[in-house]
Amino acid sequence: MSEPTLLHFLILGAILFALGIFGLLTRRNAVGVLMSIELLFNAAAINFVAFAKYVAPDGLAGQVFAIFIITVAAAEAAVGLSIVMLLYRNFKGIEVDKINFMKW
Amino acid sequence: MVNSSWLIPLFPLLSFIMIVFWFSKNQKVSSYFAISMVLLSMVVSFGVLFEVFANPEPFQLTFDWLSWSNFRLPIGIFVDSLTAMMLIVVTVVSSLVHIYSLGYMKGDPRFSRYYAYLSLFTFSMLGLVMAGSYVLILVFWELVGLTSYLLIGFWFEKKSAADAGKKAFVTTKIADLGFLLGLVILIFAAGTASIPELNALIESGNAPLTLISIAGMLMFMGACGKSAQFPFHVWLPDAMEGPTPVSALIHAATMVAAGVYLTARLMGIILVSETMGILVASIGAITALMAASIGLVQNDIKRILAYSTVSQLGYMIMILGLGGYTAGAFHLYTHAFFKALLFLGAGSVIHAVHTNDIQEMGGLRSKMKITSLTFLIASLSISGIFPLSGFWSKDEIFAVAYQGGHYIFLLVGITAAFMTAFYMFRLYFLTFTGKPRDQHAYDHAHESPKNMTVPLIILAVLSIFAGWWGIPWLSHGFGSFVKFGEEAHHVEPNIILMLISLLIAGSGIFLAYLMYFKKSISAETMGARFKPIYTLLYRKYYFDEFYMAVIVNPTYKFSEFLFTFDQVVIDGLVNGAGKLTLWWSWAKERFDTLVVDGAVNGTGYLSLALGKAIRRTQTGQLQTYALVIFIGAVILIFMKFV
Repeated sequence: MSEPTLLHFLILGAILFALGIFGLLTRRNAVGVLMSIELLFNAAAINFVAFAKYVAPDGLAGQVFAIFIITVAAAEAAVGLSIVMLLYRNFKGIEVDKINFMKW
Repeated sequence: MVNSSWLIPLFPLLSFIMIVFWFSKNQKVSSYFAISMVLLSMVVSFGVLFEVFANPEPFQLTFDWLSWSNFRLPIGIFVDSLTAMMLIVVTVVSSLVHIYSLGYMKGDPRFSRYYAYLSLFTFSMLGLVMAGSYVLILVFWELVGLTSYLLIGFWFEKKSAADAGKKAFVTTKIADLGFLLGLVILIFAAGTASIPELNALIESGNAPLTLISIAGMLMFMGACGKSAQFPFHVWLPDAMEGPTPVSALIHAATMVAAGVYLTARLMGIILVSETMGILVASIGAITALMAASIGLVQNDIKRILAYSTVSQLGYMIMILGLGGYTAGAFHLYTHAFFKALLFLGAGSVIHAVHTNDIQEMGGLRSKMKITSLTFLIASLSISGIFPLSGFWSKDEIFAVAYQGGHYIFLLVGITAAFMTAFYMFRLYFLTFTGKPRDQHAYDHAHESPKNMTVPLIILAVLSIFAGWWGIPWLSHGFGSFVKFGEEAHHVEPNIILMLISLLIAGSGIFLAYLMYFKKSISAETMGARFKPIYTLLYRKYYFDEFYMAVIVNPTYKFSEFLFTFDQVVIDGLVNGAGKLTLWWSWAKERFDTLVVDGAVNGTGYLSLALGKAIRRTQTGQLQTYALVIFIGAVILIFMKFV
């Protein structure tokens, strides 16, 4: 087993991203959708950190961005969950395919 | 004084403006203001007269009204002896008429307006005689015509008065067309309309005489209209519908004399060709004879006087045509006073008996002493009885005609003088002597108030003495003052001619005395014996009927034709154009609705339909959106690599 290279991390990020997208598009539960979005965030964060380590090791921009992403993800989760709460109160359910009142 | 002569017409103008804009509510203020202003004019006029008398050099004040390149139209004031004399005549008669009207127009609802008109007239007339160029004369000429129209139709509720005003205006207007044409030709031919310049031009002998003669002839046509000469005389008798003081002022003493004044001013042109002189004299002679003969049989007191005026104006025109500048002006001067007196006396009579028909009067002498006495003086004066002023002026006319060898005109003059004496005394006897023929009117008759009789007395004095200025034996009389050219046109006093004229006048009076006072010759029998002549005269030679048939009615017919033409053709064209426009608008409206609006609406509909179609994509399904975003991102990335 040799040292993991940049490619490994990118593949990991891509897998996470693909999983996130799949979840985002297929989950009917709103909480599941939110979780999938977290996966997407994390995939992006892994990419940032990986590029920071292998491409530009002198700076800390990648790492700082990753911290930002985590912060934003936390805030997004708070807002998202409260929206889910309200959806539940108003529609007695959190299935996203049912909640289509924003159409034409 | 002569330097400030331009003030003379301005006083009455001021009075007119003040009355119209401020005093019209207050009759007393209006009338007294008008009177004081015209008296002021009279005072200045006398000052001017004395100064011109001392220094006969004409006074001029000229400035250019219009000028471009080498054409200029000067206007201004020209005061010579003729003007000075006219100023006196106008202001004196006007003042007396102003005062007289206080009594005559008393209680009239339009009293103030009457004085405003009188002031306007006085202004225009004074402007007319002072004007220094024919252009300015024309302006005032039309102004006096206007005031004449306004005053004839002063009682416009009466249809006859309104009609008379219209007739006067239209008749004089036709004649004025000649004046205007003549003026244009004059300016074209001589290059000037200024009186002194024109006279100088003719004297120098460089003038295009033929054209100037034509111009003079046309301008004389205007004078004929204003002075009621044949064939324009028809308006003056009808003009008697106006208030009597107006008839005295405008239609006896001053405005109708404007034509004579103009003819006198045109003297230089008239003397150029002998034919024109004879033409002028002939028109005057025809008028004098015709009007006098009509006057013989009329029954309306004012109409008799009107025909008398026409006849006397004919005298003046006739003698001017024969070159008697002094004689014409002198007769104008004396005639103004005694004719004004006759009219004012007639007004006094009408005021007393409320009728114009002398057949309903009679015996008024005992009731109206002052009126009858002054009327008698005026009648004697106009008949030419020694030594009243009418005698001297008429004699001057005869003397000029005799000296020039114009015996036919002399004969006409003498015949007219005989008729004048006859109709004046017929009028006098029928009105003031004999038995009253209308007892009711007689019982109510009374002498007029002082403000009417005092002007009568003053005019009577003038009718006697004004002519003494022109006694031919006087070395510095009228003839040496008002004269044409450098040398006085001296007329030899002819005693035999004087005696003849006196005899003629006396026999006219005597015949009237026999017929209407002693009744030894019955007027009715005479009328019956010469029935055709009587009717012809009574109907005024059928001039009115003739004009009605030849001019007025065809004009009406022509107007009706034009009206029909207007209705059918012009209106048809206009209406057709309207219809076409309407149709065209309709077509455009359709185009607008269908094509233009169609395009606009079509755009709207298209957007709507497109929107309808596209909004289907807005499903509200969060995951669909996410899918679309994802696919889009993938496509973008692929495009980056491809």
